[in-house]
Order: sequence, then structure tokens, then C-alpha cells
Amino acid sequence: MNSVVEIRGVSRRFGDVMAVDNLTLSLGAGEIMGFLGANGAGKTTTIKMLLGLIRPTSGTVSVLGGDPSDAKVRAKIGYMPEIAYYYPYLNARELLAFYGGLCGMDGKTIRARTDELLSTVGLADTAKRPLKTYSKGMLQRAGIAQALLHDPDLLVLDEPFTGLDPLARIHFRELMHRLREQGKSIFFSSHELGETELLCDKVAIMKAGQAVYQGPVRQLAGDGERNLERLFLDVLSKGGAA
Amino acid sequence: MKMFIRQLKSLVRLSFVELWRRNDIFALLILALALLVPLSMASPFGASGASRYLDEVALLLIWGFSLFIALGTGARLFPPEFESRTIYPLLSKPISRGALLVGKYLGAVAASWSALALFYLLFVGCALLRGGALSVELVQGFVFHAAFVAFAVAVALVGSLLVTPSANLTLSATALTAMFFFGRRLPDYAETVSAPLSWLVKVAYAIGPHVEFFDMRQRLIHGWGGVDAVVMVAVLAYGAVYTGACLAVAGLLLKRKRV
Amino acid sequence: MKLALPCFVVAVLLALVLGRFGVARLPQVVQGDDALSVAFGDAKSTISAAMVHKADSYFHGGIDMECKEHHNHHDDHDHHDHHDHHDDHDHDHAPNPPIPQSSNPPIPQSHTFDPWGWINQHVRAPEKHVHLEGAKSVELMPWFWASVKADPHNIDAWTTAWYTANTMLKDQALARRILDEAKAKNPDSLEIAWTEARFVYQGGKGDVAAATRLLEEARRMGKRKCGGRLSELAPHEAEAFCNILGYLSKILYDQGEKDRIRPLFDEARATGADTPVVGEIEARLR
Repeated sequence: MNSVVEIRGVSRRFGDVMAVDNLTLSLGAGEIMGFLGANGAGKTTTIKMLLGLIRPTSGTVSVLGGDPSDAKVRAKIGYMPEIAYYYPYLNARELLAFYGGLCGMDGKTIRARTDELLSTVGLADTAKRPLKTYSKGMLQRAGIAQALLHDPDLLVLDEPFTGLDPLARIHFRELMHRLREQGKSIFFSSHELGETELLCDKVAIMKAGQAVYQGPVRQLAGDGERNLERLFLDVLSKGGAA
Repeated sequence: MKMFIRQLKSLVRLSFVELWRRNDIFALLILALALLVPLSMASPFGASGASRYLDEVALLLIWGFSLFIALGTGARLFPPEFESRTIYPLLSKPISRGALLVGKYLGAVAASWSALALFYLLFVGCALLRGGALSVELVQGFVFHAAFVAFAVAVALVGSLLVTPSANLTLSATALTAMFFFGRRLPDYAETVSAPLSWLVKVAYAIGPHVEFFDMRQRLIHGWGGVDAVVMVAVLAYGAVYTGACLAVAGLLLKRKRV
Repeated sequence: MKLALPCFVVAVLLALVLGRFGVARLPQVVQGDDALSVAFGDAKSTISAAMVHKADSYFHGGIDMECKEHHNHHDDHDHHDHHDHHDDHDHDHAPNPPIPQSSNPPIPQSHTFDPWGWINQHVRAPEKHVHLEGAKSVELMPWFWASVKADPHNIDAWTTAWYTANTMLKDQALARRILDEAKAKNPDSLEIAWTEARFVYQGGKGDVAAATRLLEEARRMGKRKCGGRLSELAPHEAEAFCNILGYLSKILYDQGEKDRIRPLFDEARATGADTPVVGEIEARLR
């Protein structure tokens, strides 16, 4: 399987703090990876390196065979941040038009994709309301739409379940599974272990900048005891893979 | 190139929409009307026929408002992106930081120019109603004022990448207003103080933003006529060089800014 | 900065409350002043002076005479001050106090080329120095009006406004309105009283008898103000008092009553005022 994300021996230091320490992981095409860990474990730093927002101190990050600081590579990445308070004076349609323009899309394509995505994420009826009137969950759905707008090959999602109600979570899971079927790769960080277990093919658990566990979720499911929550607690308490 | 143009268009549109939906301009217009309408109806000591004072007050308001809008728009270009975390989806798109800076700057300038154009249209409309006429110096005055707005946005943009938004607004407004009113008198002041203060004043005069160059209010109010083409080119070149320098500094700051 | 607005609101409220509860009885309050005048007294007189300064720059076609670039740009120009025009040619001495000009010492000119100064000279100074004259002088009136609104005791503003209406605009009805209002706001001002007499006199073409009556009345008011001790008049009042005596001496001189000029000269000398008018009165004795 071709690797969509290839992280090899990556470290990132901020002053005296080693935020990510010798991390190695990979994500193949059509795979969904959950990226877990306590606050400050290095998840966000890793995501920023994946997006080319910061460079690693050492090691290499390759996304879709290229350097993510290259705009051409980023054109194939869709990113959704953890709750961003999008431009309050725009409505959802204008927000997508704005991001579509940044991706270099033409007006006709933007309009077509906007209609499609707004109904996919359930914002079609409220598309003309200013974003400042949106709830947290609605903003999150607008965030999903902007990440998918340019039909990226890799989706990087930071805490995608935040603010979503149970029904929206189900719709979100279904959407992610559809995208996987289309061959898209999805890399997401989360604190929602139950959702992660339902959604992912594999997980990586971070502790103090290091990946203390990497493995498929299917091996966990079905044994009745070793579910993701127990694994997570074991790994974090012992500091090594269970 | 096509992609770059689309990115710029998107960023410019964003600044436009934000400025006009924020309602600041409408609030300023109402304030201007509340001041100017009673003034225009005033008849000092029962004398009628005076109109220059109205031009003076109207132009002063336009200058004040344009400074407020330019600094406000320039100062808001980046800090809210970081506060609301929209900087991440923004930078994750296939756009370079340089293009982002240029697009945001052009958007802020275009939005501020649109507000300035509205203010001048109203000014000209009122002047025409009073029997005035369009003049070359009015067009020159608008061009100079537009250059000032572009200049002020660039200064606020640099500040927005260095200090907090409130500090930026205070510092930029103070520096520009002080230079506007006292910049040309700094050499005189330098002669009246001793070193090392006199050296500092001379340095401030040499490198400070001489926004007073763009002020053609007295020419418009008192009908002095336009400035020579050479002077106009000199003023616009000064504005362009200073603005370019500010953008270069802002570019370096944004490049080094940790997200 | 955040405290500026609350402080302003508190100051206004304080002024209003003080006004309501007898601030007018305080010894430092000029009779007729309201509480806001007490709270913002200095600021109001500064604003008032600035408005007169503005009117002066309007008279000079928008040139601020304190600015270096204007002087530099017009070195070759025949320079007139606004107060030169205050001379209403009805008398042989300057009738009005001049609009205050800069008291700064002359600034040494640098010989090195200053590009910023060059731009400023060409943007912020006109190619021709033009004065507002005739009907165009009406442009000065809003600034005088604003000045006396800010500080009704700014006598310079009242008298210059009157001069503009009377001599430049030649609108005597307007001049009369200004005088009436000035008198109402400053009933004990010798300068205003003298100005009214000049207005009636109109350079000898007006009602000389009425002007004489007004001048005598003003003379009595001056003596009354100092209890007959003329040397105790404030300098500006002493000067105005001498001007009143100067006008009276001119009228008496024209009527051939030179022997009645002596007491005027004695009173003028008694004020101790340093004004050429005293010498002019003395000359009429001969």
C-alpha cells in the first residue's frame, strides 16, 4: 500500500521542550488513523508539521510523496481545526466561497461543491445566516465542509467530534466511511475514545512526544476486554505498549 | 498566476464584506451628519454665506474617520485569525504567507478606499449643492488621501504582527496623528533642545512617517489650486516606498511568526 | 486611556452638581459663569484663542503664519498681518488689539537640503499669498462665533468680529448685533465700550455727539472700576482707558476745545499705560 503520510524519526523542539520526540508513523491510502494522547502529548505539533505550518527539528515528514510546506502538496490536504470561530460576518456559503478561492477553485466549481457539501453537513437551510449566529456544532460542520471543499486526498481533522450532537456524530461517521471508500485517507486527533474505536482502522497513542502505541483497532475489538479505553489507560499508565 | 489572482480576490472580498457588515462606516456617517447638519444650518451672528468652515470640518472628519477605518482594518488583519484559530485552515490551504499578506493588505486598502470614496462622494455632493464645482485639486486631494490610507494600513499591519491589537491601535494612531500635526515642525523643535534629544528628534524627522505630505485640506478649502506634477510624484513615491518598506517588514515578521 | 471617559463623565456630573448647589457663590467664579465654565474654564479659553487664531489663518487665505514653510515660501511676498487691517482709518492710532502672533524666537535656517521640508513647502503652502477681502470676509465669522461661544469673555474675539463686520463686510447691522451681544456678555468691559463708541463715531462720519456721550460714559466706568485710582487699572484696561481718552481728545481737538484736553492727558498719564496714545493726546495740547 502506498503511504499517504510518512513520518520518519521526526522530532520537534521548542526551546527546552521536546514536543515531539523521534516519531515514526505512516498512513496508507484509504486508511483512517486516530491520533490519541493526553493534552500536551504532541498531537497538535505533529498535525502542524503534517500541514507544513512548522518544520521538524529533525527527521522527515512526507505527505502524498511531497513536502507539506509546498503549496502543491497542501492543495491535496483538507484540514479542519478544533473549533475555529470562522469569520462572524460571513455566512456559510460565503465562507466556502472564500476558502474555495484560496484553493484556486473557479466560481462555478465552488458553487457546485458548496451546494453539495452544505447539504452533506446539514447546513443547507442555514447557509445564509451569519456565522456569528451559529452554534458550536454548526461551526464544526462548517469546518468539515471547508476541509472537504477542494476534494482533498488526505483529511487532517483536529478533534472533529467536539460540539457535535449524537445524530451529527453518526452522520459524521457515515461521511468518513464514505470518504474512505472513495480512497481518501483520514488522520484525526481526538479525546473521544469510543468514537475513535468505531471509526478508525488504526490508532497511535502519544505520550510526552513519543508514540507509545501504534496498531490496528480491529485487534482490539471483539476480545470483550481490551477495548480502546482500557488500552489507552494501560498505555499511559505504563508508558509502553500493552 | 490564475490561482494567485483567485486567492487575492478571495482575500480582498473578505476584507470588504467584513468592513461593510461591521457597520462602523454607517455609524461614522451618522456621526458626521449629526455634526455637519446643525453646523450647516448655523448662521454665526446672523451672517450668512460662509462655507469654508463647513469644508474644513467635513474634511477634518473625513481624515479622522479614514484614519480610524484604515488603522482599524489594518490592525484587524491578523490578530483575529490567531485568536479565532482560523489561521490554521487559512495556512493549510495552498497559499504562501507572502500571498496571504499581500492579499490581506490589498483587501484592507480596497475596503478602506471604498469607505473613503463614499465620504468624498458625499463631500463633493454637498459642495455641488452649495454651488461648488469639481476641481483638479479635489482629485489630487483624493489621490493623496487614498495614498495616506494605504500607508496607514501598512503601518497598522506591521504593528499587528508586533504588539497586541489595542497597543497597536494606540501606538499607530498616536504616531500618525503626531506626525500629521507636528511632523513638519520637528526640525524647529530640534533647534530648541540640546543633544542627545535633538539627535533623536532629527532621526524621528528623517525616518518618521510623514503623513502630513498627503494633507491637501488647506488647498481644497482655500482654493490654492493643485500641486505641481513633480511634487505629486514625489509625495506618491514617498508613500509607495514607505508602504513597501512596511510590507517587507510585515512579510518578514509573518514568515517568522510561530503558529 | 480607559479611564478618560469615566473621568470626563464624573467631571461633568461634578460640575452640574456644584452648579446646582451654589458654585456661583464661590469667590473665584466670575459672575454669570455657569458650572461648566468653572469645570472647563482654561480649556474653554484655550479653544476660544485657537478659534481666533483660525480666523487669522483664514484671513491670510489659509496660511498659518506661525508655520515655517509659509514664511520660507513667501520670503519675497509683501507680508500683511491681519491686525494691520484692523486700522479702520478713522483715527491715527491702532484701534484694535492685534491677534496674538507667535512669540517664538526666529528659527535659524539650515543650509542643508531638506527633502521633507521641500515637499511640505510645496504641498502645504500656496503659490500666492492672498488675503480675504470684502464679502469673502464672511468666512471669518464662524470662527469668531465659535470663539465667543467657547469663551464669551474673549474680548479680542468680539472686537475683531465687530471690525470684520463693520469695516471689511461693511454690514453695520451685523456689527451692531455683535456689539450688542458683546455688551450683554461683558457689561463692564472698557474695550467693548470703546468699540461701541468707535462704531457710533464711524471715523467722524457718524453721530459724534452720541459717540462723545458713550466715550464719557466709558470714561466714568473706567474710573468707577478702579475707585478713581487709575494706576490700579489692569494693563489691558489701562490701554483701553487711554484709547477712550484718545478718542475724546480727538473729538475735542476737532471741535477746537483744546483747553478741555488737559484733564484727559493727566488721566492718561495717571494710568501709567505704555501706549503711544498718551503722546498723541499730549500732541493735541500744543
